[in-house]
Amino acid sequence: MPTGASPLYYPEQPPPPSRLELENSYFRVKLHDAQAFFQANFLQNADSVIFSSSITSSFQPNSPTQSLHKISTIQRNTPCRLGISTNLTEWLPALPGASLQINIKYTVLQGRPIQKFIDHMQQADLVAKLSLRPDWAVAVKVTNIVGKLLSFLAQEGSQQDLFSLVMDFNVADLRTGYYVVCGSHSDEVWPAPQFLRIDANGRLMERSSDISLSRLSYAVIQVLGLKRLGIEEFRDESWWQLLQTVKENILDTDSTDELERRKLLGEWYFALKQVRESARKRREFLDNEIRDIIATAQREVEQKLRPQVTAEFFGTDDELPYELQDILGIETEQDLQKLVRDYQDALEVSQKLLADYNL
Amino acid sequence: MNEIPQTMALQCPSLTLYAFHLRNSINQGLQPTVSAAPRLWEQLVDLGNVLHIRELQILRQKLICYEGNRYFPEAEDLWGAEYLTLLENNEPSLYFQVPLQAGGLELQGLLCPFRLHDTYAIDLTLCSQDTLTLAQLNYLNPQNLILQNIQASLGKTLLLFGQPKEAQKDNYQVLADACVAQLCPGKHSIHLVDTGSLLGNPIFEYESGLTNPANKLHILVWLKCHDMSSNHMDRVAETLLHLLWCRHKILYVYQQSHWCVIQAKKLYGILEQYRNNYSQVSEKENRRSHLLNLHAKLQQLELDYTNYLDDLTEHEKTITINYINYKTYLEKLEKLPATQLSFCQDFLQYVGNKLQRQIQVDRDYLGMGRDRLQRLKATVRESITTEPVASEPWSGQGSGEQECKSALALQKELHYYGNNTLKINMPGIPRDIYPRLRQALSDCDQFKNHGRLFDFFDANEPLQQWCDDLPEVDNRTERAEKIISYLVRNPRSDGQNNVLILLCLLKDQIDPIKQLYQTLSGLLQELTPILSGASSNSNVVPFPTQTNINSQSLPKAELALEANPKGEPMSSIVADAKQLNCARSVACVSVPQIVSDNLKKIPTGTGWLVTPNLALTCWHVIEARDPRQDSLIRESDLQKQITNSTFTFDFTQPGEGIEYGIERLEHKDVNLDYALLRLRDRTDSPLKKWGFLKLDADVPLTLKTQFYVIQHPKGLLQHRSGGVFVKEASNTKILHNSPTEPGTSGAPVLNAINFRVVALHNGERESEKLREATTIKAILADIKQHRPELYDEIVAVQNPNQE
Repeated sequence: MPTGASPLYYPEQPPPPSRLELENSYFRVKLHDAQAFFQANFLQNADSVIFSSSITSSFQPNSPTQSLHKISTIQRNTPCRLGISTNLTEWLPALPGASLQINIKYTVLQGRPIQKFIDHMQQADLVAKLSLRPDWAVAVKVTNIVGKLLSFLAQEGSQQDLFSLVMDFNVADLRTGYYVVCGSHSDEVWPAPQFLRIDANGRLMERSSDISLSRLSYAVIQVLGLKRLGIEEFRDESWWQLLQTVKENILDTDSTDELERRKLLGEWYFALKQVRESARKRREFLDNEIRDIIATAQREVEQKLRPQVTAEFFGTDDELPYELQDILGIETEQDLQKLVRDYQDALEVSQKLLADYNL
Repeated sequence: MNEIPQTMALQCPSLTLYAFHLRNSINQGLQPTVSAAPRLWEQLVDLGNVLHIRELQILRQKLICYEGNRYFPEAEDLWGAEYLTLLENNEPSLYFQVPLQAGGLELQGLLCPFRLHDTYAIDLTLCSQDTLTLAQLNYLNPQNLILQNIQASLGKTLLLFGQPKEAQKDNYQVLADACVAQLCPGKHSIHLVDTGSLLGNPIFEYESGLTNPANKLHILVWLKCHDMSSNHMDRVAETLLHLLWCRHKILYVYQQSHWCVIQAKKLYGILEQYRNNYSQVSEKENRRSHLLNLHAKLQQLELDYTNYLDDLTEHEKTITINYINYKTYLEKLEKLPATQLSFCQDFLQYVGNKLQRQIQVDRDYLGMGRDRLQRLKATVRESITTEPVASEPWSGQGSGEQECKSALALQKELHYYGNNTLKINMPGIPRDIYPRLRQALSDCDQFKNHGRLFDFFDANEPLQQWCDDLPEVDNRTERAEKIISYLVRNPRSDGQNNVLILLCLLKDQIDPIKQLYQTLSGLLQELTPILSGASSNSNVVPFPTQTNINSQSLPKAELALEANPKGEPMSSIVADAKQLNCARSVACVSVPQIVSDNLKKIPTGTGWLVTPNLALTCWHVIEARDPRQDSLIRESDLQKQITNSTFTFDFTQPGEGIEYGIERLEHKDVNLDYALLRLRDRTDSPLKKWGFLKLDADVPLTLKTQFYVIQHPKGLLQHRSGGVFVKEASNTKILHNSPTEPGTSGAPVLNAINFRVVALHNGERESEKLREATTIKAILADIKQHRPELYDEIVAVQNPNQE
């Protein structure tokens, strides 16, 4: 008869539409569903439940972020489906050493001193969103606001934490799909993990039917995967703007002179080097996607600057210039073509996935 | 390695056999490959038969080097497949399922067959998705067939890859030892060479003590303890194949060189015997006869001895090239993250310190033998001349003089054969046309049997010369293949193409309403711009039409007249001599490519003398940068490149040629893509002995202007190709259609009439399938404008009377 929070389960579920590949895909954590329940004998005057989260990640190790997701009225012995579907993170790169700790709190308020305020919040559909990227400063501000709000609510009425559901995710082991954590304040029989199932509509089911989910609090976390973000996500990046500016400048130039053309190539590689160095500092993006974006730009410029004549000296094969090899980590023209083609394919798949995710 | 802990296991293990088999050798004579070349494929078919793997059983049908079940390696050459997968349709690999093993184990298989220049190579992998205990590892080598059945002449490497179970993580070497012992039971001579790290995962190298490359076992065990990116793994797979290829070639060639040394030492022993014979001749009666006999023997001995020495030099070069390549591939591998392959570095040291040094020592030692042989031969020759002629002849075959003459004649013949490459006009039938051509020819009645074909060749004067050596085969298709191959290998001296002539003559004997007539006409149209060296304009008809080529309807004199309707120059002995004379002024240019002070490669081009010590070549050859995508060279790199570049003249035989360094870069122009260099003269071999090429800046170029391009394609021996002027590309550049290759850049484009240079070859204009060259007129004008004193220097040499 356990109380508190269960371990994190990865229940049986339909195969997720994408898989996570370390260093080669992004993930996003979403609070898919939640339920709060407490027994009649627990709190006599419980009226509202506040559902909030706090996230600590290796991407911003010293800055946990808090979010307030829902304030809802609640009744004893009646499960309260919070019915939320909120992003807990933005798209983050699946890096081997990264980790994420998600702490979801169910807080019960007694008395009705703030009923009006709650009503107002519900009407306004106020949800504080956590954002780790790209506007980190905004996320910090939101966190501060949420912290103050929670503190204010706590002062207004007497409050009691039902329990905290703490989930530690090591990105290296992270899988796409649904994770479930259960909890109860009083002694309840928890379902065995093998009997938990997520159906095709994303609903949590208990297959043994001996145990009712209706007497438990739980949270269903969904991990989504995406191979590539696409250039729209990079438009505010200074390195992307530099890349675009230099590229467009070259594409607009009409050079008929061989010397001029070679000088343009030199300027382009110099710009690419700057772009690569600047972009490397951005841990919020996959290094591979940055490389893909540069490679795509390189192909455009190369096609513009390619001369009509292929020089016939022997012994250089089809190797890329060494500066380009350093920047892109590939060696041949064929590698470059493959990289750009694969990026286009990955973008196409990602666009379709994004549409399916309906975020 | 004796006690095998059977609790150990590997998850998802795979066993890959990399096997390398010699396809071509210098000793193959006129055959397209060495006789044992197809053995590798036959062994794979046998393996498929034993293991009931259908995909391997029908492997021949999937390889481009087979026509049906018949080995037909010419197809690779015709399709230009020197570094390609050999599967039809450019498929990268052949997947198959291995029939269920004992214990119900499912195995998947993958075969990647390659041709790597002169080698056939395979990557044959068997893998399982299950966790296999050590005892089950043998399933990956069913019935030991992978090791026993596949015998590759250059050698083979086994790579075992798998993920150890968690419990084994502290002692990977014990696991690797155990795996090797399990895979090769009873082979106790296999020992661990060293360990390393590849993509952060441990790798172990094992080797058997055997010396024969075909039997020697080389094993790598790579344990997957951490995840690796698939991109990195793909790069490892590709680079490892090439690295192992170089390794096995080095070891194979070293063994060959060792054999040469043994043979040469035996001959050296015979030399000692001849020396004793010579000292005894003075005591004999018929001294002249004995001396002539001894001289003949010494000549034969010298020929054999020199052959072994030459082979040794060739082997040394091959090892050096493969050493450099191995190093390059190793650098590529070690650029990958968390990769440290000390055993590969040790191998490089072993090659440099042991193998190469040993060959050098052997060569020096045997070189002394050659000197002694030549001295003895000279002494014997001297004795023959001083010996009275009255001595009786040494044998019934004629006088000693005659014998000496016939020996000289033989040498001349050999020399001529060695230079035969000069006549090759680099023909090539595109792979998409070849099957249609073969089919169309085999559909012609003349190809029904050998007799009819012979009669046809004999009856048509343009082909008469080739009728005596027509290859004889049993069926039409094979006959068509052999004829194509035969005609391609035996080009005409008049610049025309035999395949086109054959097509034209066949077409003219068919009723125009027949489909075959249309087919032949279509082929003729497609092949003409490719094979004839004529304009790419499809309206141009390079050969006479029905009325003027049909020998049966016209008198012979008229036929001869009509066979050359464009008045193209015939090849004459004098012209050949002039070409050879021009060729003397043309050199192979080697430029070390230096990037940020680091030597990367040594690309080659062609260059030629415009005065006794000024040479012209392309700027991109000296820059050693690809103008398509490289930025301009840094000044410091350029200086180092110039300092270390060489022009090699008289590079007409392997291992021969005289090198000259560059004194300075006199002038260059990026737009015109030329560089004018002053070469550093040598007192032992003055530059003036190579002469210089005459320039023709003002020649009016027309569609009838024929060109010769003297070149060093792919850095190889000197070649000559022919073509015509097609059109002007700009004020300073022209387009021509002479066949060229990488390495031709900088070659002189000579007017075939007066053997004067009209342009400097730059490269290929791929969109038009034509070659581009900068006109001499533009180059001279540029030099005159920017470096008038150099212009004067050139003009003074070119037109000595003008001053």
